[in-house]
Amino acid sequence: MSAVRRMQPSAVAFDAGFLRRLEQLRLNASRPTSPLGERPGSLRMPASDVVDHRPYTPGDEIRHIDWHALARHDELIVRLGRVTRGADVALVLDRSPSMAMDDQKWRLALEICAAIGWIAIVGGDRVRLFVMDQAFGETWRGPAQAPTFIDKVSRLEPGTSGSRIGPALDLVRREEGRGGLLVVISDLWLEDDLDASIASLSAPRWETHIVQILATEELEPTLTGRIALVDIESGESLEIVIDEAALTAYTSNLRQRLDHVSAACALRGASHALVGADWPLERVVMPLLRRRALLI
Amino acid sequence: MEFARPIGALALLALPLILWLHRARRKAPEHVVPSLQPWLVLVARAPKRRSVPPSVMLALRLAAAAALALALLEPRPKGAAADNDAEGLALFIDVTTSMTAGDRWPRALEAARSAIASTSAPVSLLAFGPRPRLLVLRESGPARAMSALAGLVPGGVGYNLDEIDSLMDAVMDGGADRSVIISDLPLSAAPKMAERAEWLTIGAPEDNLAIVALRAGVDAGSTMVTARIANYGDADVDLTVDLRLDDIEVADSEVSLQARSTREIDWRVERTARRAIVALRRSDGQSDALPADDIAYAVLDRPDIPVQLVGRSPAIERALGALDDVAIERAGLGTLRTPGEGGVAVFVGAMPDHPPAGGLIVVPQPGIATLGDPPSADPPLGDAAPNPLPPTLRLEGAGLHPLTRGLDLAGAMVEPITEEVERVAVSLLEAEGTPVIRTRMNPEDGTREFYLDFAPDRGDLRSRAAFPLLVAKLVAYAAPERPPLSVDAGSWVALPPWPIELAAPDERLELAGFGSDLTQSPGWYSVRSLAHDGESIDFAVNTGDALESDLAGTGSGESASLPLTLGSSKLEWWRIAMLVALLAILAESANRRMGA
Repeated sequence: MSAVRRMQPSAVAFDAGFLRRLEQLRLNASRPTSPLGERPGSLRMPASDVVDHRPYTPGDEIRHIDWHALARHDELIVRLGRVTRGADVALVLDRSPSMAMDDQKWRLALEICAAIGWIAIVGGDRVRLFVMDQAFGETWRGPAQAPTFIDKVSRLEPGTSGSRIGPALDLVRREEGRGGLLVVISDLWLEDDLDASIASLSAPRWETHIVQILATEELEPTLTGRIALVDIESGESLEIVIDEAALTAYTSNLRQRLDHVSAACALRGASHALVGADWPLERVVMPLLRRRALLI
Repeated sequence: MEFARPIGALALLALPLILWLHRARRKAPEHVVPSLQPWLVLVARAPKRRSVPPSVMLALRLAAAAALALALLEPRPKGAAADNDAEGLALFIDVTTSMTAGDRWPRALEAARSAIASTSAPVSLLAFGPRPRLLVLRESGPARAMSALAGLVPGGVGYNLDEIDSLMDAVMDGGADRSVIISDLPLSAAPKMAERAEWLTIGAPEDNLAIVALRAGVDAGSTMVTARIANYGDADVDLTVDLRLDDIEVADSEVSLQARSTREIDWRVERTARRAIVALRRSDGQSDALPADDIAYAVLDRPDIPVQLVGRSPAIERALGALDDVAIERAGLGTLRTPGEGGVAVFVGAMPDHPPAGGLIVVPQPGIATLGDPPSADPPLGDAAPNPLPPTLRLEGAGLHPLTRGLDLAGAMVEPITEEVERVAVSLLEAEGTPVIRTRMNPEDGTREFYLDFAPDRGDLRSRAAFPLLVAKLVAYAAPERPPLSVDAGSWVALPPWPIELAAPDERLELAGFGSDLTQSPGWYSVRSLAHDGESIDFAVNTGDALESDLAGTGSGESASLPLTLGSSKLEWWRIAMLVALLAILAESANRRMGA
């Protein structure tokens, strides 16, 4: 629609220091599902980094026999180590017009996406990026691909179509059948029902985190007078008279909606983090995500 | 109901325009939001925020437009005149003495100012009293009319409705102008004029005391002063009448005067007194409605008309001697003097090349040239005339000129002495076709000269009873105009033709000649010749008169057809229409504010 503001790609420019600080963080994936990765898994196998022992069985490599134990106990004992695994991280990014109409909002969304992806990739997790209006996802794995991920995110442009989260989450569920860590970055001005969509991605298979970004004008609008409000996505208009009482009603209604989202997420074992578009990423947003147990 | 400006109906086209604008009225400013979802909760409240439904607002706008259109149409009661239709406003204001009673004059001025201020049409202002005066003629702006109003001084006895009517004809342009008369006269005083003009009656009937006449005459060696006082009220009144002679109070009389009655009071005074003032005052101390007529002035004595007689004519001398107010002075051509007040010089048989100022009567003598030659010391008498007797002619009947009108001169025999006098122009009396009395106006000073073309001491005209009257008329017509002893306020006063100084009681001075109508104020007026440095002549101006002093017949509630503010009814319509429009606009503004 005509009201959509075309934006230039918001380049995500993380300095090296910030990236190093990000590398100190890890995604809080309690259930690593990828066979590759650096996360210690629950499965134990003969290995050099001993966490346990078991009796030797034919087929075990001789190099894993604990010779010291043989000497003390005269029994063949094999040293067991943990098998490392990786987390499958699905990042779902909303790039609907409502996300892009505010510069800060869109930029913060890209930065959060890039930061989480960077943390995951550098941490050995497999990252798949799903953009809401695309029917496919792209995969990044290994620290070497981390810069390309940031580059990819930086070059994302706002979309022009509406924001439906259902198809995006269905795509995630189909392509990531093992479950994993799901991070949805959106303003949640959705055309479909969020409750039904996240119901299919519930715990324990999915550790879902909803990061909702709202602009300052959305949180505390300053409009007054008789105004025709136009929905940037649907193009529908609503002529109303905005006064102090109307603003109070708006705020109350918004609070109810946010509470409803939080309740729905809690019901599905998901976390919900409301982020202001003007909040600083490193000093405010990242600590908030740590409190929401997305990062550790 | 009718409309002064039907073209104003075009303004009604605004109504469909407003309807169209209402349908296509400006939308609210658009604002793009990420989502309408959080705003939808306000939808239910939105209609309630309009305190006035759009239909009511539309009705208010239409009402405002209709009211303004109505105002442009200028509605007025059917048949009512409107000054916008008139090409001009002719305003007649009564300036007679009765207008000074009570608050009539301030109210008249207020009404006149309101009338002038309420019109944009050209204004003519006329003051009517004894002599109607045109003060302002079709002035577009109100300044001159207002200024003329400020300079008006009411005073004057009587009025001439015919002159006012004629002046109204002259001022009004083909009957298109609006004419308004402001007077204390009731409408019934001039019903014919009331049909042509809007009549505003000022004031109300009031009781009044007045001195309506003051006369002085010689009686048995003394002067008799007689004052007529009148009570124009409905109650008996006790009053005191004072007499002052030459500024000295000499008598006061206690008088009881019945309602609606008059009474004369006499005083016998010395003949040496020259001026008399009679004043009345109520014994109960109450003020009178019209103070101006409570005092009257009279001139008791005035110098006779000086007549210088040069030459001898027994017939003329006998006739002059019979005149009462003429002072005859015999003189020769070398001893002629200029009379101070402008007298008359009678030349018998000869006249100098440069006669003195004043009137001239030139009488020929048989055998002596009248012009240029000095008279003989002892002219021959008629009975010593040489033979043969000159021919005589029979006088024809009296002519139409006032000099001879009413005189029985027909058939009298005169001996014509015809001399060619180029300066003589008009023949006043003829005998068998021959002019015997001729006259002309001196072009230098405006005095009149009379030439007798017959020998008054011959023939039988001198034996006629009409002859002294003819001589008296000759002297009266030849003598320069002298003001009468007493005139009514506002009257035209004939003055000497040469420059004079007229001193009025209100200390006004006028340098004028021939006449003056500046006699509104009662009191003493003094005329002094500037050309001849002579004595001054006094005359009195009085306002007391039944026409002005009887206030019972003036002012009434019978008129009231004209409000003090002209066209106020139309202005009321304007105001109402504009008020409706204003209220509608205010309601619109209030709604906008509430909506905002």
